[in-house]
Amino acid sequence: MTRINLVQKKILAGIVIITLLSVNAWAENNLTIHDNINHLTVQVKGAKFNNYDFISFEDIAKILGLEYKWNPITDRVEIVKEPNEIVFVKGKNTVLVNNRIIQMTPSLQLIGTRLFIPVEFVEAQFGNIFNCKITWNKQTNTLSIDSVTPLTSLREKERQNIVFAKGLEEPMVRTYPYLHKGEPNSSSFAEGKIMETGTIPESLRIRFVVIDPGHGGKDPGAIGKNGLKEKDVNLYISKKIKELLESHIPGMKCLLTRDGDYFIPLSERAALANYKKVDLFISIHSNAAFSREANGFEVYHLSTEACDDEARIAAVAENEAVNLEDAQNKGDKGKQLNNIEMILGQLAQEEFIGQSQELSGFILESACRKLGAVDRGIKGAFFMVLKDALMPAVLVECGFISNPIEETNLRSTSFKDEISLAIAEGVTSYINYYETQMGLNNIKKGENKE
Amino acid sequence: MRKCIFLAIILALISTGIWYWRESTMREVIIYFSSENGRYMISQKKKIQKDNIVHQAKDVINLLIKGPPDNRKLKMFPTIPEGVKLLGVKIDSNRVDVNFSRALIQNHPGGSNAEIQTIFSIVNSLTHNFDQIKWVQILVEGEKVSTISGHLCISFPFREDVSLMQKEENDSKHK
Repeated sequence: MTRINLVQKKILAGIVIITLLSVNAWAENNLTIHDNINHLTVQVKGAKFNNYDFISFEDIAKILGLEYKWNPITDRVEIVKEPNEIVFVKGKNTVLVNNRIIQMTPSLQLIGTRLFIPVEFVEAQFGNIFNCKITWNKQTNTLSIDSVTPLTSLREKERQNIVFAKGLEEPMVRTYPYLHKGEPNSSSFAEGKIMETGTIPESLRIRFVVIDPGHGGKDPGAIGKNGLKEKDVNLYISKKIKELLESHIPGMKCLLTRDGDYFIPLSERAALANYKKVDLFISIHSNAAFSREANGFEVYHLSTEACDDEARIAAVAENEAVNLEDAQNKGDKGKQLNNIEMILGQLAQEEFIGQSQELSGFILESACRKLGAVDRGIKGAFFMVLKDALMPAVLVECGFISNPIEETNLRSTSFKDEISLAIAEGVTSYINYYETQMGLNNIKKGENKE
Repeated sequence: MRKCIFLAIILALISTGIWYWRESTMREVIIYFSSENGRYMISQKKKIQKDNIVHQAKDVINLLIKGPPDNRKLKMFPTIPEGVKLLGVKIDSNRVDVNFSRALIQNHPGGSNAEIQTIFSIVNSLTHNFDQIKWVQILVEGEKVSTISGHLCISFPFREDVSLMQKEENDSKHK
């Protein structure tokens, strides 16, 4: 009896899998677009999935003359056509239309390098929002539309990413140069040659860095067995890094979140960096463990892996609903946008995790090589001070104050100078690497040698 | 003499019976403590009374608060600061709220490493032993707090972090 059941189950499972596969397969689907105004008809390549029809995001945006920003890191797509705004996130069924939540099933889909949107959503929403007539005929696969752009002269628009966060007065625009792959000058990226900066703005250079000495004032941080206070170590190293970076990199400016022994709330540290629109955020700490044996160097970046996204969004929904209303009444655009960010469950820093990991790697490598420190690795955790930063952000733990040997080291000025130099060199290597990737000039080698 | 032997046998039987009965009402749990260099967590098997899940969760946290046995060879270290008391455990479907006294913040040694060990020894010990529990929210004196020692944000529930649950072999290799 059980055996038969098992066989039956297997067959059933097989059938289910086959059915799922056949239903859920993507299929190419040619769509006919009829322009109601110019009476033109063109064919575009659409897609069919699970009996839903999709049109390429690029095509519909061109047809309706919409500018959109697609951030490939966060998979967030924004359409802004004053006074209207739509925000999508790939894989999420929630769409924000002028700050109102609308459900879209299925969600945006990425096929290869192209994004696709359900045609039914376009028909149901885009007409109202953008004040034009759109009708979809599923039988004939025809989308009739009041086209803004003549269908024959479609042009590629530059893609930009706009980000919003705490402390920013207005949204920050970043153009992602790697979206222009395939352009003539892209070959020199690979050859590592110094590129002409013609198409790439100088503003992409990293020349403004916030150094954040951890703790301070009433919060001493960890305290060593022999009385060394973490806040003092952090401040010394931070000041030294500022000095080294500013003297070794032409045009570099560093800002300290505190330059003395006083208390600053955690939330204000990243907010300062956002407000000043700096390029990097580096928090300097000293570590402590429950065991006195623990030693070595570790660098952290933000990770939301162990964290409850839904709870984050729910908390925002509970606490921020009132704020959102207030903001709307007062017409506070920045605040609204910040809330949109929160509703989508997105943290500002999540866009920069990749770069933050790279920066962590450069700092850790330099520290371990130069100081011979025990390499405890690059780690991710849900850090208060990193989560709101709108730029690559890392937290460096320069050894353990709880370890008597390392406490003695961290007390010595010459050792702290060495740590500072190692971190500054790591940061310089990262800047060099980043700017080379971006096609900007190298910081000349040897510039950071003492 | 015979009576004596007979009595001894009866006594032995009764005590074995009690032992078996007690054993059948116990279950094994795994408690996570810090490794010597703080990189990972080391598991230790303990026994607690079979009871409803809230009582069991309380027992697990109290074992964690009590700390590992004071045996240098084991190279296990506590993860909860001294003087911390468990004030309560509340279970709401797959989330557990664990309420600690303020000593969790006041007596914490600081440092990212110690803070991570504190948080994830609590989270992992609970999620590992109870299939029902997927999320752990740490509370202090009944309130959500933003952080314990100024590094990690604990305003939201955490899930198990398996990257910290490594064997001691990995641990000593890096030393």
